[in-house]
Amino acid sequence: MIENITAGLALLFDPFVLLVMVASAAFGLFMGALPGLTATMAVALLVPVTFYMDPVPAVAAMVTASAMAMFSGDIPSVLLRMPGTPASAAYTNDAFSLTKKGQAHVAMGICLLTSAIGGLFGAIVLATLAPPLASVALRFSSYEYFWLCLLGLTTAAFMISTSRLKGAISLALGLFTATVGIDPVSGVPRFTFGSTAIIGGLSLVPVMIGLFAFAEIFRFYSRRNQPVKLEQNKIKGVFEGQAGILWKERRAIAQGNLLGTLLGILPGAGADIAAWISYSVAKRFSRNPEEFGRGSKEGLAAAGAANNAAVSGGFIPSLVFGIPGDAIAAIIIGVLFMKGVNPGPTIFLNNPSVVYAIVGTFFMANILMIPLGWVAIRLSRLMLSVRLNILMPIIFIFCLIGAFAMENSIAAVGVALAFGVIGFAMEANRFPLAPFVLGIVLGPLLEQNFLTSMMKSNGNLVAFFDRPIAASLAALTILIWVWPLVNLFRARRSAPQM
Amino acid sequence: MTNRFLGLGFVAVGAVILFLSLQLPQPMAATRIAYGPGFFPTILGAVVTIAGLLMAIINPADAFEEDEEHDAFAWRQYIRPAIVAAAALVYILFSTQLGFLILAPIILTMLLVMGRVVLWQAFLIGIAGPVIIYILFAKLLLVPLPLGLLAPIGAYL
Amino acid sequence: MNKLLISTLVATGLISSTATQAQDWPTRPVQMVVVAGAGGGSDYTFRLLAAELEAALGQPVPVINQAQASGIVGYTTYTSAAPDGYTLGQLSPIAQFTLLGQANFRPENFTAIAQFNADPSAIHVSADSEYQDLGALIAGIKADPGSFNISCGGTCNASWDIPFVSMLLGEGVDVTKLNLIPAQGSAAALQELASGGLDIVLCSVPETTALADAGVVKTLAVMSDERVAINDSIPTVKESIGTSYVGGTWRGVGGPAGMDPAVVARIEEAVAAAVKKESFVKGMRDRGFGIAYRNHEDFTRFLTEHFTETERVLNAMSGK
Repeated sequence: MIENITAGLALLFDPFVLLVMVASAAFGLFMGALPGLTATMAVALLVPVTFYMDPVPAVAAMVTASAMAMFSGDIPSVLLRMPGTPASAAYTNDAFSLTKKGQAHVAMGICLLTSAIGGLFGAIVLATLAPPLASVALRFSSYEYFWLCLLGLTTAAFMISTSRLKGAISLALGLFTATVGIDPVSGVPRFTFGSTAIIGGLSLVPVMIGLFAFAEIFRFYSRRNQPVKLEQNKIKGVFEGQAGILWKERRAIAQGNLLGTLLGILPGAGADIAAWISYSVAKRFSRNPEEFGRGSKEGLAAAGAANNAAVSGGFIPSLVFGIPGDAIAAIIIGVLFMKGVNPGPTIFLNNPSVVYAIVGTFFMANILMIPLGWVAIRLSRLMLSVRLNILMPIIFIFCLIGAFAMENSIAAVGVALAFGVIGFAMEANRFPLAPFVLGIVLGPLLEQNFLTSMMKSNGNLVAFFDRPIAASLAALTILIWVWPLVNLFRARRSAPQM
Repeated sequence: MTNRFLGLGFVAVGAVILFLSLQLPQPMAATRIAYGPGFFPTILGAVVTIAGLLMAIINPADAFEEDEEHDAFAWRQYIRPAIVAAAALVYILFSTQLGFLILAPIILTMLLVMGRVVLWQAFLIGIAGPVIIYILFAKLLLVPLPLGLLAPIGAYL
Repeated sequence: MNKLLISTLVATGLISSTATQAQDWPTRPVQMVVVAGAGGGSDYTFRLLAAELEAALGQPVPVINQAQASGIVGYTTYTSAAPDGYTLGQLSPIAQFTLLGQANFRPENFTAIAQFNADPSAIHVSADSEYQDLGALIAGIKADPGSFNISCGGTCNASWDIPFVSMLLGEGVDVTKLNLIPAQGSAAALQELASGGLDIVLCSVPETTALADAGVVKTLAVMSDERVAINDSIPTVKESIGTSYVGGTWRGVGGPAGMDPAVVARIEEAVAAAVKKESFVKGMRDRGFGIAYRNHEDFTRFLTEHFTETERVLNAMSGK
């Protein structure tokens, strides 16, 4: 055991590995900070680069890049109201509202520190509890996933703050967007009108680039008096007063850590969903729910911790059973296989030093995040010193590339453009974007798990309540829906006595 | 646009979704399941239609926040966003034939000029930017950005 | 007008390049379209092969991943490209797309250049299943075909389940009653198997190594002529039930229809050399991928057979 850990650390503290980590950290920060380029894309683009590396540096590069990109996706949220990654979209409004109040440095500090805390928490769980938690994750079948998705959508109902009707329309349209393309269950192409361009569906990254980045560029050009520079002219004292804020929001952070890690462990969920669910759960139980969407530090902390915790947590089922927790873990597993290191229970017997080295990279990456993230935040001042009429066109070009690079298809750029127009129109008419994005993220999971469950049970609905975990999730979901009614009923009953 | 009109618009959108969903084929023979590919979209179409109808009837008032940008949306304000969208459309339609290194500098320079950047700066950034981006993404990260007309000399790019 | 100008330019470029193609090809990078995502099995085998092709042809061979719609997008990309040898792609089982009306691929849309890999399908059950050998399982399915939840390990009517259904057909099972369930890839299917939601999962052997080592999954038989190198304790179908049924997925290099025979011959030669190279053989073996070479002629014939066989099985399932 001890010699394995030492051997693992020796693998990790190799000068080449450290060099690779710093380089991929810079790369990850860069990719995340640019609207349109995401954490998953950063990892996918590293595949050919790591093809000839040893397993430890290859995995170290990917883990570092994904953790960094997950944090730096928050930077453009704070400065430009454009989330750098889908996982940042949940709290973009809060981050940007803080900037508008002149508190960009506070927002940046919360994002950076909660990201590191979440990542480290996930890494601790990975190091200590991986095998038992992975066994629990293996108990999840389509019934459990169905309830989990429904739970996610339920929490969305609590996120809609302005108009419930508009929120419902936004959610339904988001869910509908996800149905375009070949239906994976029946194999029938839906709403493609015979075109092969969108037969693969409207995937999340181009849609997000459209809804947020393109729409924001359109908004910039539609203003009569364009702001010359960003409203914030300095970002100083990123860490100032953070200790107090973190202590005050300790409950939100703890909840983000837990939810993020757990959702990360479940194969198929991942960082995007973790951030959304953690945000809405925080709102549900907050003392100040009205602040959410208008610069809530609580929401920022809960979701910021959750998405990074999910990245670490997503590696647990990968390492133990070879079943990836999310898209990023799937790519990393593929690379491990390539290197002849087969994830699975035997990896602990055959390659224990590699396991410890990999777990070590999660710790290293999240610790490195604090100084390097600080540098990135300081550098983002450069973005502030560039005038917006120069910055926006350059971001536009990055969006063209970002939409293209995820699928190597020009049709994806078309999807981004279409959703840019939709996002612009929705924003102008005050439709909330959050339910729309949640719909796209959860829609495919919800539908596929419902349909495959029905296929497995021969259309018997009882099967949805037949298994212990499914039944508990079902009870929780139904309880959340019924609770307000119960409260209403009790209020009525007690009213006459008052 | 008032919420009433928007509501009616969504009734139409929902109806279209419903119509298209109901035309999707029935469940296939090899699978014994009562719900086909149209099941889920049909529900969504119905939700959009009903929500749109409610919106048209109730006409909910928006909780307006103090937001200086939303005053007086004149049609002139849409001209420049439309030009940006057109630039993206040109890129989508022609980048494969013309290539990234030819089209991106033209689009970037044009957008910079439109944002009233000084001319020499616009040209400098407009040309240097795409070249740097090309080196970064196409050369280092192996993203297959289209070569277009430059394909014959692709070995040197 | 601009469009006309462009097409003229492209056309003249094509003509001039076709004239000099045979001897000069390749003078610039050759793109290899892989119909699966970065980091997966197909991506891996093609990156290995691309490295060998690069050395043989003297030009870079960048791998381009287009995994959308189970690969339909990627196939469409390279079959509709100019047949100048600069756009090649992965050629794997495709007949199901046409037969299910998802796309309109025909053998004549492709130039089947050379096949380099074949991986047999295998039949997996959970370790505590009441069926511990293939004979018992087939007897069970025969008795009540509808009572088994069978996962296709990916989209249905594809490389893993078609050979299995073909075997059941041969053993006299009423295949119209089968309950085939699609999955989001083999990892998701195995997760379902482990959680008790499924009875049978069909996918390749290397994909189940981790769960088999964990004692969660048991592989009853592999659908090949010989046992697979990665785990030679698994019997073949023939050893289990006496009759041979083989099938699974395969990977080869393809191109758009109408390629210059001289260019095809050069790629074929490069692939033939690659499958004998130590570095390639080791890379494939390390991850449990089988090497199976078919030259241009055999691969072209095989592609047509693949369409006929898939059609036969699909018709039987829908009761035609």
